[in-house]
Amino acid sequence: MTDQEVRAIALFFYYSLLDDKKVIEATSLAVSNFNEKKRKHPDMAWQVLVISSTYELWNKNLHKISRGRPNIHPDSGWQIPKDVQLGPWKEFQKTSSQDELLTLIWSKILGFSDQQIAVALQISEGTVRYRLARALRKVGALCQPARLKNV
Amino acid sequence: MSDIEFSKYKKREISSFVGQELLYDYISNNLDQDRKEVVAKYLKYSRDAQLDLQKIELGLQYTQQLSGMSVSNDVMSEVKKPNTYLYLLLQKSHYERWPVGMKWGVESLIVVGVLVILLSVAPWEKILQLGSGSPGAKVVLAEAKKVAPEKADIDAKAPETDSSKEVPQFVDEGLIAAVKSGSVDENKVVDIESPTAKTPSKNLVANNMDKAPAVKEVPEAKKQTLPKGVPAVLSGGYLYRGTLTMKGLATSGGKIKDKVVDLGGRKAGDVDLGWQKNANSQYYHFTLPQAKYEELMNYLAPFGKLTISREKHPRIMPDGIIRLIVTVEEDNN
Repeated sequence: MTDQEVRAIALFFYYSLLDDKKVIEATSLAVSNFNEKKRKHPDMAWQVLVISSTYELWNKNLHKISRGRPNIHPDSGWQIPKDVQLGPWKEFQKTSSQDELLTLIWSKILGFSDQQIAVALQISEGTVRYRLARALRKVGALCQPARLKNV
Repeated sequence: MSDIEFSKYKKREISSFVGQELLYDYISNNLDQDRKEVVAKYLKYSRDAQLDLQKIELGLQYTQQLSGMSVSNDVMSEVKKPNTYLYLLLQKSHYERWPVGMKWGVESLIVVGVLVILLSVAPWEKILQLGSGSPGAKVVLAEAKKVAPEKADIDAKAPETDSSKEVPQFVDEGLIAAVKSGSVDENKVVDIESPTAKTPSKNLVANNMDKAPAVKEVPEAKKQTLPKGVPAVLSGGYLYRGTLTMKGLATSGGKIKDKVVDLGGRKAGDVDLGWQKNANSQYYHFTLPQAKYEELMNYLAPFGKLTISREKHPRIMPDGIIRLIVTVEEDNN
């Protein structure tokens, strides 16, 4: 498994869980799941397998996930880009629906295409775009007060 | 050309709902030219659409920045570590969903199992020995000393007065010191009756050669006061005391002595085997291997009436060795 694939899975869980300890645990499990899927479907694109593995694990452990209670520390090994505040994202992670949160992470943070997301989740591309639009509106709305402060 | 009649203006205004939903596609360049123009026109005149568009653009910028997060090597190596078997087992069994009572039950079972294994495997004997401070402590039950060679003349002095003289291993019970000096005098022989001799005992007479005489234990006698010179013992043993009444003692007495010697018997006291107590009585005080006891009984039974009893005695014999005092008497009937 390449570093790119591992990084993608790790980032997904970081932004979806916002918990340093759980991220490691979830990523390890997702990596095992990914490897298993890759063995079964060697021809499938790795992005699709990443989406499938992370989505499967997310649904399995839904009862354990407590959104809105971030537990991240600056020295935990995750280097956030300079001048980027996690406040809007924390609020978005707390208030958004599962579909919006996960789709936004896959599409705009990890850079997967709408088609890949649609294939992995077995939904239409229109549905993917619809979810993205809603998610981006929410995130944008949360970013606006900060932007206004800067202005 | 389509047959559908369009409005007289040949243009349809986009609704606000459709316009809102098409904003993301508009900004992502996913619309065809016609729709793009329609949305652009909608944006021109709709303040809400413009605000929505700003939000979407902000959202895109923000997520673009978030995608630049880097992951340290420590985290990458931590993530790549294989999961332990226990962790996977707990995951597969959905341990977290079990009721509290079941979790406690399983945990207590594991603890009990570990304790049982520990108790059964641990070398407790060694641990206790370490605790007692005397590893390999042994308890001495008896000491067997090599008896000095038999002397022809027994010294008349009391044994305790002469420190160089060896203390006899066993006391010839039923005899007094004066008799041991070697002189055989019927008148002077006086039996020192030990309490064990007075005690009635249930004896079985050996009449049948095929069967060895069964020996029953007598009730436990009073404690004997051991003669001086006899070392004290820690616990009691047994003494086989018996009487053989036979005819032709003078001629057959030697055979008994030879047989005892053949079977590995040795004199246990000061007097020799078959010591002539009086004219009609011979005294046999000897030790014998326990395995040869039955054979001796079978040999003695045809000679006459044999009675043997086993009595408790404070003196302990070594394993596999028994001590016998047999008095052979002439049957004058």
